[in-house]
Amino acid sequence: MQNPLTSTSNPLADVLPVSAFWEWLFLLILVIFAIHALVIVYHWFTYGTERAVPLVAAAIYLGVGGVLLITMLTIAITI
Amino acid sequence: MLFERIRLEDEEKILRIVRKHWWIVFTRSMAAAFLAVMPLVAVWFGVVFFPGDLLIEFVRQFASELAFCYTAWLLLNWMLLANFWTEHYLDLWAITNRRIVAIDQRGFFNRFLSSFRLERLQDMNIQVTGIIPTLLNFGTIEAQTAGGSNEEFRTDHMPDPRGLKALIIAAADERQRVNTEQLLNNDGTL
Repeated sequence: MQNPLTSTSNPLADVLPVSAFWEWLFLLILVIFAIHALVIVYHWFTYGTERAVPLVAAAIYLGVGGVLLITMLTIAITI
Repeated sequence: MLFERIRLEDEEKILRIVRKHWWIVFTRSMAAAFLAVMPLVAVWFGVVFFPGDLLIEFVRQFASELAFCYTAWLLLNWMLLANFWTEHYLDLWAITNRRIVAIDQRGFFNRFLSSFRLERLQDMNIQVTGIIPTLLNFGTIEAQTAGGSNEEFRTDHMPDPRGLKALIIAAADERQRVNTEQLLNNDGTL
């Protein structure tokens, strides 16, 4: 049995491999974007003056954000 | 929506909803777009002005990592742009035939709403300063009210301030006329 005190491996690398780092970073960015989107869309629909504008704005905001997130996920998987 | 929360009175009509001039949101959007392309410009400058294989080799070796970081940067700028637009969309003056509602959106969860009845309007000042505001016709508008602080009724970058002033003064005069008529009808005397 290997003595953990004499182990030469990097414990951080065991817990979080380099490839997983980018996936975790993606997850963190996804959570931040989701919270921001929730707050901003809530404001548009609660304090907006008409219903059509927030609908279009939310579709554009989530659409472009979604494309960027999918691009990031694709890159994170390939790293 | 907003007017369900403000709760308009019976026979109260919205005359106009005024948001800040488009130039303000345009300049902020241009700033966000400039920030978005900055990393590409920086790499281009690096390649042009510091010739050698070091930078090109670095970009080639970490192409995926750099692409991930740049996409995250684009997403951050997209969120920034959405914040600018939100401030533009939610920051407004609603002018009705009875009152003026001024809403100042100072970021998320920080919202200042004030209103005054047109009967309280004493004077209105407008100020257009600078070349671009003069050419595009936008400026500061300030309403002075009887018996209250007028600080909350001052907004910068309002489009067509002269037209807005004329509209508000006409609405206040009309309100005054209606009030006088109602008094006459009730008592028969002034």
